[in-house]
Amino acid sequence: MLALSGAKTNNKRFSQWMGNLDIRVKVLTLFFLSLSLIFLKNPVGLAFLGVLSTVCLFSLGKYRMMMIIYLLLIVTWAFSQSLTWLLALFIPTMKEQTIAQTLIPFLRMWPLLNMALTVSLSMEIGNALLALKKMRLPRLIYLPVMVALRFIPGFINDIKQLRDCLLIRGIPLNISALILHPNRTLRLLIVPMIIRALRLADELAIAAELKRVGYGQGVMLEKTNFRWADSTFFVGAMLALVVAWNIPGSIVESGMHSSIKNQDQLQRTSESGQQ
Amino acid sequence: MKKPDFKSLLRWNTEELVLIGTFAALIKMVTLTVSLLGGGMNPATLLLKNIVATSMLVVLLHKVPRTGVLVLYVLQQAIIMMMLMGSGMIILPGYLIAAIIAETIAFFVGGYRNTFSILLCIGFYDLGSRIVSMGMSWLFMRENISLFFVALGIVGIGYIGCLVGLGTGIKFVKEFRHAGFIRR
Repeated sequence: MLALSGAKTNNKRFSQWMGNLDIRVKVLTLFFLSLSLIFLKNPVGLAFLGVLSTVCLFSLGKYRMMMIIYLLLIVTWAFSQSLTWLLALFIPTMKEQTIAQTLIPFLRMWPLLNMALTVSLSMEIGNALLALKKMRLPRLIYLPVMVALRFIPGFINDIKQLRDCLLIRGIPLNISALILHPNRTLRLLIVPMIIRALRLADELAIAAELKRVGYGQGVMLEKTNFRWADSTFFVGAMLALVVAWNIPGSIVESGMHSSIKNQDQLQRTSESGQQ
Repeated sequence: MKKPDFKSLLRWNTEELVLIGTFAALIKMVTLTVSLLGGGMNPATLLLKNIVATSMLVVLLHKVPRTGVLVLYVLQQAIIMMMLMGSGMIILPGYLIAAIIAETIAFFVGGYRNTFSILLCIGFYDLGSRIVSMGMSWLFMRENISLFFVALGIVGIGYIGCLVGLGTGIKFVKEFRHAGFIRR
């Protein structure tokens, strides 16, 4: 969202390397990362990826936001752990759930969250649209995305105006108003937004037709080549994934019965040791 | 039954594409606004957010009643999500499959000219996409079942909101038809 709202760009040189990378490389890296995180079970490997992705996010210089997000992640983990203990009072098998098992989903979310934020915060909307154009996507995909992304900043202004209108009429927009008067909220907030969007869509469609937007005529695209920095980043990221998969560490089994299995295995190994 | 014209699936006029793009952004923005006003992930906000999103989807499908609109909308949503929040790529194939199944059901029930089939299509799409979301949640949280139950509760409340949204969507459509924004 910050990328769209025209927030201040960080001028520090250190923070520019992530923003200068090609958007396609960042998105592809994020895709491979999320794919491998699904199957990776090793907490050491997950922590390794978490640290590396923290470096990427750290380079953007959004320290306050990072702190808030990590705090939220810790609070959610504490909530999850207490819920596990609570459920253990009623479901005996839940007692088998170890702290490592509770921690793993959060270790999995950590690199994903870091990388997703890095991609979205380091992206300028103009560059993103240019990248979409360069991908030579068909008109039926490219045109709506272009409209949507151009529409959002203007629409944020409309929402602010609507809020001001409601405040002038003495209608507050907060959590209690939403819960106590959902029907009123729908009528006074949502319906005007839809009407505004429908009108805007009509105007945009006419303008697009007149300018022949999306028919493959108009802006000439410059040749798209990946720079060495893009290739280096991508190769480095893939190497990091390979290392995370091969790093030595314990594998935490999934589900409630895993620790039972672990106990069985322990018993068997101790028996074999005694023999 | 009328034979499906597969070539027409790729022929879209600018007005339809602009509408799909506008609604994809609108739904994202409105749900985000409702979430922020409602103070995050509480059941009331969750319910209202889904009511609003489904209602708007009903309006979109009435405004652009043709096969493929839901698939295109899902694709747009995924790209917008990827650009704004950097997420949504892994889940996209599942959502697309849910949308294709929902569109197929709508096609066999009578196509988008029929309000009932639009509601059925959105209802199935919401259900399918939630099943996909739950599958993804399980993959990410399989080590901690209690967290999965929390996600299950959240998704369940969300789906109730979607079902209510089908009703409010019809109300919206009636109002917009009366106001002349929807012309059929």
